Amino acid sequence: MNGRARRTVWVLALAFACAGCGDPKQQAAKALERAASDAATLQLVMAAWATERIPDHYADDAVRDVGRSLTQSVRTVERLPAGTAGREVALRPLQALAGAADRVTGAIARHDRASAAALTPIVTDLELRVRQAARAAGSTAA
Amino acid sequence: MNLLKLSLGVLTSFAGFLEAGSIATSLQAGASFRYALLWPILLGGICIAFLTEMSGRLAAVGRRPVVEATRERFGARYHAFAVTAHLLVDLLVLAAEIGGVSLALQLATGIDLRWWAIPVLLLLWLALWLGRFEVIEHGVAFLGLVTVAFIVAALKLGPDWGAVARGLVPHLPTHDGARYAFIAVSILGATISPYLISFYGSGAIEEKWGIRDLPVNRLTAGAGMGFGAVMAMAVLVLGAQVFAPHGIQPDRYLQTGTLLSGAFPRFGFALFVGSLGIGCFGAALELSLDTGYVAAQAFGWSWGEDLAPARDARFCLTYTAALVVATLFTLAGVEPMRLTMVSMALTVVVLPLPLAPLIVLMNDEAYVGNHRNGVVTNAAVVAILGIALVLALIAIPLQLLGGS
Repeated sequence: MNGRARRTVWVLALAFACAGCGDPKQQAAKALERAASDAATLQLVMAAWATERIPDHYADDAVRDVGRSLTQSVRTVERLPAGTAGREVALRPLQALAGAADRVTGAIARHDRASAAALTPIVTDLELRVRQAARAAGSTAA
Repeated sequence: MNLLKLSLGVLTSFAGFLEAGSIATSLQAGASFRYALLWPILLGGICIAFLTEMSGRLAAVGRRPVVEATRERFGARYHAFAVTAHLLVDLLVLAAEIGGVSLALQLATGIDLRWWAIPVLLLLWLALWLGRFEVIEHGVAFLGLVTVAFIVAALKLGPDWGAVARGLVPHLPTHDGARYAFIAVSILGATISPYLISFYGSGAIEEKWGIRDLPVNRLTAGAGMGFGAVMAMAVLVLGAQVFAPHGIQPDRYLQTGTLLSGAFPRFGFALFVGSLGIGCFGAALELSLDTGYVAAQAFGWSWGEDLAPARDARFCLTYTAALVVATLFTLAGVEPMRLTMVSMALTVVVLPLPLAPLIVLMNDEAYVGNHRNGVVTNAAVVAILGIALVLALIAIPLQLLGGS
């Protein structure tokens, strides 16, 4: 490979790396989109578990997985500098959603279907708030 | 025409079509864009039908698989590049399939997928070491019939047929263009997979196809791949019916366990787990064998699943090594669906390399005698190569812009 070709490869690699990093606002919008999808997944899993269409161990795995993903989203938004547009609006429902996922995990572990059912409207409301925040942060898919 | 051979061939192509790549890409497409991305499956299905037919014809008439013929006709330099890319992609896709089987076992038992990686590796290796080609091919195909559950479920939930018909025609997206393009490219990568082409040709050599088998080859490639594409479309339709209305964009398999529970309340979860596990297991067997085929044909080693391992030791060593390396991804805890999406994009990047020689080989009398490509098949292979070149250029930028 000659010098020119090598330089071109490096420039392309750098350009792709920069594009991968993205700007913080875009990252937050993506995190919110993912959180909204996670909230919807949580509700679908809760509904299937409540009607005994899925086994306990899968419900437990799926809700824990949603919880991990939500915690990651919270961290992404927390990394935004204070005062960034949408940060405060997004953070509260995201944290609440992560907390709700933890409570659902607990309910599944206790086989407490009544507590899980009681959490459903809370998760629905939080999902709406996260979708609104995602739209405010510039997401086109939320 | 041997009816049994034909039906087994169609069944094999049909039931072996659905694996981690087509499940992941179709689900994401349906969940994010409802029926709008049915057309890449249709386009990919047509392309792979043409390509596998050519691969089978080359094997039946020229008695050579594509890789071996490429080495002979184009020399070691081009060939080394193409084979290295082919093997790397095979390895990544194999890793995704092993992850898919392990994940299915996690869904079934609740035990983390990393614990299943080694048992899955051993099971795959034992099947390859002890099994004969026909037993592996047809056994997996019959088990793979469980995936028909996707078609039944999609019909049961009653899709919007008007939207389905509109989705079969290529069109621009109404939102999120980069993601739309990325998923379209990934679907094409999952469908026009180089391993399907080389595995099909190598399989034809294993089964000792001759000129008399050309009609069977044509029907197997056309009907088998066509039915397989319908299966992938059913998964997309299910994604559109089950996930899209809730705004779920599945990027992890753990999100997808409820896919069939609406259509089959009692057995939906078990059917999904079975379909995912068997589909990925079958594809993992085919991919492992393909790594052995490609390496053996590239270096001129003896090869054949029906030979005793002592007679084709390097062939067996290659698939064994491929299995071990691919298993490391699951052991490292890489999420299978994410690995699948990356491997599909990379498949697209290398796609022109194994496809380009077909234009020459399929018009060379030394390889295919009087059974050269006609105007239609030549036009098809030129068009497919054109598509592959464009996709190869845009795949990585789209992965960065539109990948999750």
